[in-house]
Amino acid sequence: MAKNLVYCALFLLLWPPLNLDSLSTTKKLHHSPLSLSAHPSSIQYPDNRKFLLFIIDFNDFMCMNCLESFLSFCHSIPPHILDEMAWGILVLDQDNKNRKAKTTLKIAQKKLRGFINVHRIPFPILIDTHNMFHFPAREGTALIVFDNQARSISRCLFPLSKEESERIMALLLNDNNH
Amino acid sequence: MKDRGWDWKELRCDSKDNPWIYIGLIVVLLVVCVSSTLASENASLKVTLEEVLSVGSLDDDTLFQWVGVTVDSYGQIYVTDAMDYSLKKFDADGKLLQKTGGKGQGPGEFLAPRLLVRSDDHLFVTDQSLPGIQVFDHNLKFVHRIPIKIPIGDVQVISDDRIAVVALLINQSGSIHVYDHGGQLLKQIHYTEGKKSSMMDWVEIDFDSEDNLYLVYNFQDRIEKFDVNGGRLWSRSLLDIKKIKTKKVGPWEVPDKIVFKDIVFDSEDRMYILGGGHSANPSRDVYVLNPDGKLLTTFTLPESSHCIYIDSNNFLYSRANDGITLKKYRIQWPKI
Repeated sequence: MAKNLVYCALFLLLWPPLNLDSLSTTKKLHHSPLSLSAHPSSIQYPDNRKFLLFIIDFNDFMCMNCLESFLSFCHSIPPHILDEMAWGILVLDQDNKNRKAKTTLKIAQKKLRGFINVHRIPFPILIDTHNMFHFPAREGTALIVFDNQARSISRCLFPLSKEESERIMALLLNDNNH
Repeated sequence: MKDRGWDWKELRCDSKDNPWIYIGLIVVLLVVCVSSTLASENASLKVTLEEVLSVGSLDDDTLFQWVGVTVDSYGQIYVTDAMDYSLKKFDADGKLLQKTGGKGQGPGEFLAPRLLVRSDDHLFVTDQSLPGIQVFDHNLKFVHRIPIKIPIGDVQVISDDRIAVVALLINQSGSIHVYDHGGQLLKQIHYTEGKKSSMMDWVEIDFDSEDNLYLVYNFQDRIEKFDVNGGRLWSRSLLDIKKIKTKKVGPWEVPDKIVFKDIVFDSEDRMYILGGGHSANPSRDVYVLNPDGKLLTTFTLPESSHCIYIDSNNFLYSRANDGITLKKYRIQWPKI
């Protein structure tokens, strides 16, 4: 199940026309060092990097301090590393059945635009318009670390503990120094 | 005993003998008429809202996540926006006039701007992540910070140099603190009668035109009125909630839903209470009570809101589009 989710995530991320609505820069979609072959399991990566996937729960946008830990973590990583290794997925609120999907998407787009601008987020955050990531986001905003074989090697929920933060930082920096 | 039934002839005959029967009948008829008229008025007190202004659209960058709102006597609207850490001022037509703030802990900066209240000369802004209350003039120029150390659950202006604060601390709930502009504690009003306080005692507060204090409990089905000396005048429930369910969050047992979210008054001292998760329409139902605590009517906001505000001209403000839009409504009461 988890493996399938990882493949699903990377597949979607690497194939932007498929589903996800990108609000931030799309330069990485075109300049990505990753290559996509016919099947996700055959993805080959050019180096030994780790990759970060931030699953952001839309409800955390409604809570003033809920994303502070996410921001602190992001700002503790050199932007050039984040720029090359990180992606974000904004998972929309599933509870509001009374609202039109188009309105929900527009609200999410606007909030995301404000969030990226105010906090100078250096990596793309895409909106999960088809609710593909509802399951991984069920417990709130999370971080998944993938290795270069698209295997999930760590998953943490925000707010991160100091130990979690240091462990992930070590994973990232060690591998990127290779 | 003779069964007369509705024998008008005999009745007329009896009443001729005793004129008090006539008077009694008239009084009974009047009482029936008046009470049925009042009952039908209450039942037909259907309040409607007419939208007169919308600030912040889905496409512009005016508002991202507004939290606090207040309106001055010119109809100019002041708003705190948590997403971009700002305090914003709009004219009466909703055009952005000024913006101040930014993320930080310095003078005029915010980490989580929240409540916003106003006196004739100043704006008072609380911050969920910073102690104290920042004071600005109406041109959004930072004036000073009132050094209050307790986290603030609610705040109301009593006068330009006095503010009432509800503490957002578990061991200090159950009392309202009155401070001057220098942060000097002037008075404490205890409303839990010496009971051990808990987060179940967290309240929202407001004052009517006679400076009576009203509380609505966040996690209890209770509304209370106190006089200016802190004496309780009445206490009532509204929603007939039997038991408040709780859930475990970390080491704490916390209520799973908010009962009441906000309380405000219009210029005629009608009390408007925004219901939370226990209402039929969560975060949309507004209960209107008179100063004696009698329910006058209930109406429903078009969208869920975290708060409501009523300005001096009795326009009502509430949230739309998850905080990127502020709506202004004319409250239309039926003509009686």
